[in-house]
Amino acid sequence: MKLIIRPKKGLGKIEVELPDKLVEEINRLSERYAVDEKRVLEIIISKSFREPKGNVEVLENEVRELEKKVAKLEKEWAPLRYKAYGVSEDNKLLAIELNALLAENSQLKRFLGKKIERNLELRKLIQYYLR
Amino acid sequence: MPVEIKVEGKRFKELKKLDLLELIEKNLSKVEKTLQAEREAFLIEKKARLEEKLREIEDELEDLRAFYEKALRDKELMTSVREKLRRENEELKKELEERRREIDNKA
Repeated sequence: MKLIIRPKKGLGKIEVELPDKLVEEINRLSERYAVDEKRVLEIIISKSFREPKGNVEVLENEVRELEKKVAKLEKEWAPLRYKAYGVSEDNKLLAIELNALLAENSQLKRFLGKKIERNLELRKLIQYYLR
Repeated sequence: MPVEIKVEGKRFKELKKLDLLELIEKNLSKVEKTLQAEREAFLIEKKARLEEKLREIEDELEDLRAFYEKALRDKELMTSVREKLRRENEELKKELEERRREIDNKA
């Protein structure tokens, strides 16, 4: 592998042929951290070294655990949403039926001169599902 | 294919004086640490995103569970009220029929 270094402005270049053993080491890092060889060399050439602040392996495990938790909850969410939608649709039909039955009930009571109950709570519930 | 890297002029001058092979060889362990630090930064961001997503799903699930449980209770209540009203309306219809017959008989 040949490495060529050029200045951003101006002329000139440095050329160097990297021995196989060194290329092997560069490739190992490149594969392990999923970056290309150029990136490995760039870090050295531009002296942009950094140190990890904590334990990367522990962090990897934490991320994996979180991914598992999210996947598990997502699995639970879809069927529950389906079930909730089903019951809510049943309730909508029940609300339509109840609306008609209440109207009939009021009319019958009116004919018979009986006291008509207001059923406020029930009417609120019916409106909620008719929305 | 050669790898070409561009550097600032000042660094270029520094590099011209150095043994590049030695520089690369000596700094490979530092590169590994740097790559670990980059991975760490990526993981910290990913962890924060996942934590936020987890909170969102947990909240949504809680709301959804509450909605489902309420819907089940409402269904039970509305079903029983429907039966009660059906029976009551039948009784009322009979009563009305009875009254009509009485009025007809009087007439």
